[in-house]
Amino acid sequence: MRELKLSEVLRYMGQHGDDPQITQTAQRAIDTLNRIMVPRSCRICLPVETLDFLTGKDIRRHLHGCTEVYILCATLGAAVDREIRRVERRSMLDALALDAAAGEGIEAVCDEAEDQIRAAEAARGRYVTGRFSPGYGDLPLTIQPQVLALCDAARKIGLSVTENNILTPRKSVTAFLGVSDTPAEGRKKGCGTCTLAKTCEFRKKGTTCGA
Amino acid sequence: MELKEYLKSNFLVLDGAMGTMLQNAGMEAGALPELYNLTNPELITSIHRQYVEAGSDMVLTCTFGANEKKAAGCGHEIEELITAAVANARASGAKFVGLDVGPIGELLAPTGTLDFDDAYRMFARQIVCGAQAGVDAIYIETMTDLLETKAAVLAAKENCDLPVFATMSFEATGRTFLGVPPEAAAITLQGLGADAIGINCSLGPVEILPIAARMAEYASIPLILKPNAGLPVVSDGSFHYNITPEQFIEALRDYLPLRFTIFGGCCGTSPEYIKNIRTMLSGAEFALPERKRTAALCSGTKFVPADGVCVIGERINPTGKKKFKAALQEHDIDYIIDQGIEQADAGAHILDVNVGLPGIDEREMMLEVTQELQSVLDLPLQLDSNDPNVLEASLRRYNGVPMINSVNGEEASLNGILPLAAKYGTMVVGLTLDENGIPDSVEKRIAIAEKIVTRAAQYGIPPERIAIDCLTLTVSAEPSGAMQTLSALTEVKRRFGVKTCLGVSNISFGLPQRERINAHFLAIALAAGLDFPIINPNIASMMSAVDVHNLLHMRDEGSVHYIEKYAVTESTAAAAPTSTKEMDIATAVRKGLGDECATATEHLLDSNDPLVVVSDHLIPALDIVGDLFEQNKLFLPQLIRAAEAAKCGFDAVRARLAKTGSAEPSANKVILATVKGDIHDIGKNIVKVVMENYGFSIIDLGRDVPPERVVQTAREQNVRLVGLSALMTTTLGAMEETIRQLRADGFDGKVFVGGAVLTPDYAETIGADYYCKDAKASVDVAKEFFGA
Repeated sequence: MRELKLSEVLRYMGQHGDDPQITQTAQRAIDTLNRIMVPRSCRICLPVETLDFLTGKDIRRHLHGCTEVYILCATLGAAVDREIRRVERRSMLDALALDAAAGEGIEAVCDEAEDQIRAAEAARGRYVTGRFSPGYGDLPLTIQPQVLALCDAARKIGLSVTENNILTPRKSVTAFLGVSDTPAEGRKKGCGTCTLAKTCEFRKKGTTCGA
Repeated sequence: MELKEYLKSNFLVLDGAMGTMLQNAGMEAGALPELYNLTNPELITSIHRQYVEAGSDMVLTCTFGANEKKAAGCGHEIEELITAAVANARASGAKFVGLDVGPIGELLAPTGTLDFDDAYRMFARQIVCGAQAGVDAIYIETMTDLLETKAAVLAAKENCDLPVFATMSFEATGRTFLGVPPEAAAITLQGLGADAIGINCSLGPVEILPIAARMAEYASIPLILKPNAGLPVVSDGSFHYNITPEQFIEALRDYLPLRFTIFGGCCGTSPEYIKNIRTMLSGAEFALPERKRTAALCSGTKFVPADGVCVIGERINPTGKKKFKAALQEHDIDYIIDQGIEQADAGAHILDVNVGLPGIDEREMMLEVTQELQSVLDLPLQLDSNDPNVLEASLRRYNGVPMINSVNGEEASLNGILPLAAKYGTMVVGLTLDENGIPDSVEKRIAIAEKIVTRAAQYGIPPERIAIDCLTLTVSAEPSGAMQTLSALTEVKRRFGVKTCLGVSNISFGLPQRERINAHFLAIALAAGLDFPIINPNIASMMSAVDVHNLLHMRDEGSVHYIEKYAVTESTAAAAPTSTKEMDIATAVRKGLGDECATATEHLLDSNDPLVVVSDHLIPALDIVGDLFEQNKLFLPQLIRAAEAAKCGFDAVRARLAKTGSAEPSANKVILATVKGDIHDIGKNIVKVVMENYGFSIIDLGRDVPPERVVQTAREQNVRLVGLSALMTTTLGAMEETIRQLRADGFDGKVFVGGAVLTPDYAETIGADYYCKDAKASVDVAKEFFGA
């Protein structure tokens, strides 16, 4: 897995500009996370037509021209949740930093899995879209149980979903990546499909969250 | 022969994978295998029969996911699935049929939101149905959460008389996904009365071996191994496991010296694997695990063997502590939990939890505090109450093996406490006192200890699970008491094979410089054989007495722990006297320097009214930071840092008010809650920290809060400002419902809402009075509302 980026952790925390003490806090959080996280991911590749629960125009646009879809599930493990709960009792600043570090951590886990998928498909002369997750655009979170069941994610990586479709452990991601024979059209990343686009604090400040 | 008897003298061969066989027969990924019991019973029975023909003694029903959650929406009640599954398994002609019970599929609180009692109820429903359908055993498997496994085992023990098998799945790290170590699984599950325990799934037999050895070290009951056919490999787009039936058997042979007697296969295995198991076992020597004399406690993530000194932190106890009493009365759980975290940081191995105080519901409080402590700390707990009613609720939901403090020689105590210690498999402290009080002679105390040990044995509690407390008497009142206590301690340990426990600080009551006496008494008590000192671990001299004891008794290899701890202290001690420059409050807060803020506040307090210091210095300092935050000149981390620094100033003010005996001004109360179903509460907690520093009294109801609880709290505590947080689109409905219920109850205050997915428009739609985009906005709303 790639190294966690300090600059990303600071950005997730909402910090701009140089503040040595905050930077130190962020670095400490990265060190803690590296010690306690147990990153895991699993994936399955299925023909696009078998995934009848992928409704909504946004995911259809994302997968336009794709014949197969990778379902990716990833998590940092339950110890991270517990440590955030503990740290919150001591210092909210440290908790914010650890929460942000975990956000960057799960991105790194997904990046690694995506790289592997990309490499495998490139070897077969095929192209892969970016990641698209339930909750993006008009793809509902209510599909999470089906997503996890298809991947057998509870058994393989210990990932579950609550009755309100929240992934547990909390620092976890599910995502879809389309595979096609022609260069992928599906948006890699960006605000176009984000439900938070209207209220996003990053956008108001003229930047993006990077997701 | 009955299965329980059979296990005593025979290897038991289980079956191999069901899912793998169904997939080979064309089942698609994500499908519910349990449905095949109804749609294709012949297929299910034929798979069972293949295993029976290969040599399986017991087949497991195809009911791994036949619970309310996983089978929801399949169109059939779980009773239909289970009844059919049992019939299908029976039709195979197997000697024994086990009801397969897998995880529910949702995580229990605190990681998830599923309640323990709901999990218990779901398991009980499956088990009652399976038992009625005529299975020979309850087979709980592939568990990763010790608390969920406990719910399942209790559901089995309390709803049928069948033998209970329980296995968990471990990763190569030596822990389950939820962090459970194998030793903790072993002592917890056999303590609860499981008939066989073990390991299944996740890994192959080669990888499981070291984990199995760790479990075997603490197991006194039959051991189960049901591994995968090695590790999964993907090649050419297809998926298979990496070891052959021959290699599988070679690896399984290594489990015979560990005294595993129950074998089967999990994912990727087939009848061929089972046939090989049968063949391997035909010539093998049968040996059950020996009875282990284990004294150990655990939580769901930490195993603490009592094979050296185990420090029990005594600070969670209201006796003689004004602040702690107030915290109990005001339901200030945060304060109580902080006491736990502080002691954990100071090196305690176990935390005593005593929340008994006239006028509070001790049972509810014990339950809430133990669950909160377990959600943030991994230390095992000692539940301190002599009331069985207080203890049982907490024992039931405790994740791991706790210690009960305490039973004593009185009949009522023996009859009330020992059954609980037996049922929940706990350790228990035995006080050497009875109806006649504390005996003055050593022999009489030993006699009470003997009575406790004897009576415990009748409940199946062995001596190593008892820690006898020979009771410390105050040396100023009882000059000979100290040595008598220690003589009794050494003797009970020698005579009965028990562990020993002692509250230490009582020795010095009424004398000056108590620390000196306490530390010395602790040192000689440890030398006399004390295993569980109950002390204040925050006092350095007490912990150093323990550290030195370990050093001198060869329990600190290479003096590593001692050197690490005390060498650091010396170097920092030398560097300590760097004087901090005097700084004003505004600068200290803005830079986030807590100590400097406290110092500056104290200086101002010398010549100003405390309330003036707050209104003219601390609040304006926060306002400056708040303004800079709004102008995007400072950012969220800096806002939080400023709030935390200001807190040191407020603490100084509070300390001064307490010192002068003045009452704190009554603060305006605000309820904060993350709504039902939502467990993302960092945003709410940030709002809390910032608002508290503006002097608002926050009633934090936590996360996943039902609407009823918000309504009830608002009504009972007469709170007129409520803040609600939700981070997910799926939980906005709960936010709307909470507001609706508040209004319906006649709540005439205001509601402010926040969270990533909210917008001002949406806030208005669901009936909120204010939308707050961040912590600062929440403060502004509260200020406006209370007219500050």
